[in-house]
Amino acid sequence: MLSRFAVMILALLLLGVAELAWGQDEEPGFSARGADNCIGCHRRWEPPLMGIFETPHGNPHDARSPFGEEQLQCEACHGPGGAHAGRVKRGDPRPPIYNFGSEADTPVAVQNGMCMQCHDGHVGEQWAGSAHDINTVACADCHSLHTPEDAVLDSRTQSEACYACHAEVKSDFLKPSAHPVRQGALACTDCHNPHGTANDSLLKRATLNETCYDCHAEKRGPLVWEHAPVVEDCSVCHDPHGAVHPAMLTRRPPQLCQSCHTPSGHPSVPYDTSGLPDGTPSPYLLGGNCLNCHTQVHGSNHPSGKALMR
Amino acid sequence: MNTNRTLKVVIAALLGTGVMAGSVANAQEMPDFENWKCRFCPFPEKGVSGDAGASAIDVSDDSARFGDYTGLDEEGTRINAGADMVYRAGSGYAITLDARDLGLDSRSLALQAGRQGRWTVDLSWDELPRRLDDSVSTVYEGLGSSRLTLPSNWVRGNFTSELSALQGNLRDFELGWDRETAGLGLEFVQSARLRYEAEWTRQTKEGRGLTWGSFLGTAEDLVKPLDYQTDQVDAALVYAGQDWNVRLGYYGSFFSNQDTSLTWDNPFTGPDRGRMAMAPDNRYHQGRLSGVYRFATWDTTLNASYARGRMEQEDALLQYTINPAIAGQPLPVQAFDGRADTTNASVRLTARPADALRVSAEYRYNERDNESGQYDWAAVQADSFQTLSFRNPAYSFEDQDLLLRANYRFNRRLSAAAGWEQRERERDFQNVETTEEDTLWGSLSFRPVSALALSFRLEDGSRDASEYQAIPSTGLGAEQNPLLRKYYLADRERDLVQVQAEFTPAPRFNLALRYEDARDEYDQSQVGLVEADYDQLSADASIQLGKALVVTAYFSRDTYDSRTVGAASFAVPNTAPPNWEARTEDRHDVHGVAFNWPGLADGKLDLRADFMQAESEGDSGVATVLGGNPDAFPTLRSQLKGFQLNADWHVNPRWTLNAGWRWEKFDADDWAIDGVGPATIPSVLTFGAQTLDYDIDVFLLGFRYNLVKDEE
Repeated sequence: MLSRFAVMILALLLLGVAELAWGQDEEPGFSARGADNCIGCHRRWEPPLMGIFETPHGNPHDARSPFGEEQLQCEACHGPGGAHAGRVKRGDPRPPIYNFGSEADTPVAVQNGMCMQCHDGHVGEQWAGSAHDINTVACADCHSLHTPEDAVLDSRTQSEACYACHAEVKSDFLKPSAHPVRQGALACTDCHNPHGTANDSLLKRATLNETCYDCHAEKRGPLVWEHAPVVEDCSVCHDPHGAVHPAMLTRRPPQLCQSCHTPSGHPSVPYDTSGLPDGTPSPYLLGGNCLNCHTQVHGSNHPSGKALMR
Repeated sequence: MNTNRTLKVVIAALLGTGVMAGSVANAQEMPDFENWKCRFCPFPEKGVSGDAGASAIDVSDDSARFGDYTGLDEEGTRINAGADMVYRAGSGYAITLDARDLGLDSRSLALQAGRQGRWTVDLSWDELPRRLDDSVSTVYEGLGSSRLTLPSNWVRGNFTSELSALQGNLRDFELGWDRETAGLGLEFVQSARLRYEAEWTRQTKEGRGLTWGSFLGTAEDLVKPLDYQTDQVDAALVYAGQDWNVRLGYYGSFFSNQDTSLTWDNPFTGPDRGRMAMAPDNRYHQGRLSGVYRFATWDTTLNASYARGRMEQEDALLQYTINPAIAGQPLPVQAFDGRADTTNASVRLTARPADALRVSAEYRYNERDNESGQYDWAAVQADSFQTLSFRNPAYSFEDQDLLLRANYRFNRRLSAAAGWEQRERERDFQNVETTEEDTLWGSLSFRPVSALALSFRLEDGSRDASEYQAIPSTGLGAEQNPLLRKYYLADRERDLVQVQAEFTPAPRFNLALRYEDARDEYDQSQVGLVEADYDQLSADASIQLGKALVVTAYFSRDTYDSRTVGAASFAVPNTAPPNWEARTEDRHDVHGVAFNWPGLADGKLDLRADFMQAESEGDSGVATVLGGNPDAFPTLRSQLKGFQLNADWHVNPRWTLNAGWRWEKFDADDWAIDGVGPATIPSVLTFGAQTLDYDIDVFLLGFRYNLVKDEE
């Protein structure tokens, strides 16, 4: 008997059934008057909640909206609130409803499950198992449902939500050469799909290069003379978030180029400070350095473009 | 435990509590909607709401760098305006307008009309100003066109010092372009399950870009014409079933360039002029099918996607040279038959066999199959001399990734994850045919007390390259040193450590620390990049003081160090042993503090202040003897400082006055361009570009009018 009991306890622990006890003692029921019940207490709540009526979720004309006809209003997301809105004995805690965000008591899987009941088709078929799903990011960690404007949907403010977890990227966009996220002219979602994709880094196109071609379509080709790493992976030479070197290059030419090019003569020779302006100014070091001649570094469609000079 | 409860436990254990809890609402008896009147719900009324505003913005000085992307590149006062409004008609029909920075070159406009849940139409307009450089000067005429000419009084020479007409003909100009994007989007919701989406954008890019031209031993900075147009179409049909949904999509990209070539006069002694190719028109079509199926057992999902695409270009080719002194050879084809087919496929299975355990397995396949023609080209190098015949390689590659991972949550305080990834790359026409990288990683998240969350991640990757081989048919003198290993193809050991801590001792105080160290070692490379080390440390803190003042502060330092080994030789072929090395040490520091203080003066005044400083330093040195003392270059430096102060005064619910001051200063030292005038390099005629230092004040004074109803 004892061993059976021990096995049961162990099984419960392993399977996380402790979570089940959360709110499951009684099958919860809906409130008597729906949102009118909720608003009675939460009308002047901090942070303000009533902004939701300015958003798509508060639109009564959309049959899919929580406030659409015969929809469950607040309880569509927060779950049945009958017990929460009902009478509570003095000193007893008020039974919880579903709350949202990583810090909320409601398990993230439950929270996101509530959102996915309606948004599965919008969020996309790549959410399950994606980086944000598997790392238990709650929808509400990024989205604000009760404010008239969801900051993460605004290119000027979106990045702040991303920096909350990706702090290292914030400094990248302050580097001397960077994509204009700091200026609000580019949003993280212009390149990434936080709801999941079938590639690394949640890039919104099928590959890194395909994502870059969205704005840099002139580099797509195919060209007569291609530069092999260019067609394969832009990040071989560039850091797309920002770099201390011009053109978001990971390292400064000529050394960047000399990492891969060693034919006899000028590509193989070290260029030191004697080539600076106060010495013998070197075309291999100054100005465009390697690009002074090999200007078509992204490839050339010229019949004489093998050395990427035409 | 009664029977019902036992049953629940068993079902929950099998299905995972998430599924069960997530469907609680569906399992309930529906409420009596007769009593759900929503009488207290403040649904917006018909009519116009939102706000609109205007401001005067004064910029203290001209600066291309400050105005890059923002449009604030010129000194003076300008009027700006914006609006965020919605017109609600009956039955859910609405039109929204979002207009920003209408008085600036970075303006944008978005208009949406429709009925939520049924259909919407989006129209958009967006401008992005690139202001690249205003420190440049040139002797060329015809800037922005495909023909650059020298002044009639130009005197050629072998070196810049012999270009006697240079100084008298230099004229200042600006490099940069404007990118404008128009968009049209449609969404039609046919039913609760079926939806259609379509978006078309037309992006134009017009202006002047930087390029270079060269002849035999000489080169010059040039302006390349930018007159691009890219049309893109994204269309999809989305169907959501009970346990599955599917998306069938099309993506098309159509790029055209009005300038197929750039011809320029040679300022030096040699051929009279040269001509280079500009980016050819190209197009890409891709069809994509993706979907997900959710199994009831173990909260399992199966995602899959498959996409096939084709990129093509067949612009007419230029001749080998425009130098009449070189006998022209016939081209093998008049137009290049450029074509590459792409395939992208993925399958991912994710399951929760126990509430605490989540596992996933994923396979990805990417292929670029270059079907372009391959020909023997009698290339003329730099319009100067005929070379041997070369055959163009048609680079193809095939990637296959396999990723396995498992997450286990021991309890609310402790969870762990581990994974194994294998990435295989196969390439054509390159030194290495196959690379295979295996990565093992593990992570731990620990919350010893509710106020402290810690996480650790360790990663160990090893990339093995197949036999390194010389690329055939490169011609005499072009062979690489046999000891070179190109870093993106080379054997590599990669180690990564990440540590994060988040401390929340009180609801109003939060401190987050993060450290990362990523190290790459190319231990089989004798020549080339042999090691790279990236470190990053950051700290963020926020505290709420009093009722509303929130102060945030942040600090970040990242460093990137690298070591490259070279093998210098003038012998053909280059078979020299490693005989020089270069080291780089880049550092980037950021720190700042921001104050947000809303609701001052009885709720009438909102104040925001923000200080930020970003500094970068780059040290590098070249030792001409392996292991010798490096010859240190001057440190590359840049410093960006900024301060902003903004105040909103709410005169009444309708009117708000805004005032702001923004100061920003940028200084840089860069040995590659500092002190390099147009004639500094004997063999290169440059634009004489300098670092774009600035010290700018921007003042703003404006208002915003809110269309609130009287009773509000």
